[in-house]
Amino acid sequence: MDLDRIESLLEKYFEGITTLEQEKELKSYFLGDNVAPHLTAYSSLFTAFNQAKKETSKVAFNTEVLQQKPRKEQKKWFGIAATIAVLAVLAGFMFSNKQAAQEDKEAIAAYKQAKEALKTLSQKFNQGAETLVAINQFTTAKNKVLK
Amino acid sequence: MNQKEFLNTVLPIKDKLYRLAKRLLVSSDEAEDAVQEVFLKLWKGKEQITNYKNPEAFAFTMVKNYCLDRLKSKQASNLKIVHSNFQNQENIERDLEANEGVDLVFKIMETLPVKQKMVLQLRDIEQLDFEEISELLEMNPTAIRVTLSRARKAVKEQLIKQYNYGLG
Repeated sequence: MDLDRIESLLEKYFEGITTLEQEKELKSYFLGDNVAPHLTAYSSLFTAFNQAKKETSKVAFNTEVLQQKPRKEQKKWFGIAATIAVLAVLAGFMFSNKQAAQEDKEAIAAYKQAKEALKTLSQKFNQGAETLVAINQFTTAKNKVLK
Repeated sequence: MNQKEFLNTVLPIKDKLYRLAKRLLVSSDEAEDAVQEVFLKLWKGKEQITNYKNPEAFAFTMVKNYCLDRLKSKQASNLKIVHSNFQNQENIERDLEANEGVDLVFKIMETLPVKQKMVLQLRDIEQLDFEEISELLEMNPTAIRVTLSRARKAVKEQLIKQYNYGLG
């Protein structure tokens, strides 16, 4: 290919005024084997462009991906499930609390009864003990003798 | 629009969108994410896509905006872009020197401003005409020409500099 033509095309190329056709011409020249030695740097340029165009995406995008439920909806269900679980736990807790209240009442009644019983017991005990005060007389008498 | 029609609209431009995303985000993983994200968004808004006179341009704009957002948030969080090595699949027969030159071109392209990257990508890699580019990037043809020229000259300047240092 005419070197003068390539050089003038290159100049236009860097001004951004080449047509797509002319750019193709440049590309095929620089991808070929007969690049003039002083222009080899530009081979890299056009080779790079050529390579970049061949890159493809590996994302598999098909009908399956489209059918997947969006994440937000999944999150919503998680939320509902969590709420139900929390409610269930709360309800169980309240129920057992009620039962506990019943038990508490019974316990308090039993406690009162026991207290009452112990009170009478101690009263009787004290009555018995009152009569024993006379025994102290012995001690005072003994102390008087044995000073 | 059913799934088949939708896929027929977007799949032909998948690779183009990916390459643009990769040009901007550098990492191929992130570029894949970008495409996936944009396709899902398009699918959700599939009723509207037919209202746009150019669905391709619409998808391009979405990818572009997605990438710009990603770049912005990266800058904000001070994260460095992960560089992935470019795979040279089919020029094994080209000598090592040429490969170094090619890698160099990609490295230089990474340093360009976003607009120059996009214009260079669409013109020199995707080989679109100015009208198409102006539709995709919402720039007027004159602005595109100027940006393109700046991008090409910037790459050339650095490339020649490196070659003079001893690559060539």
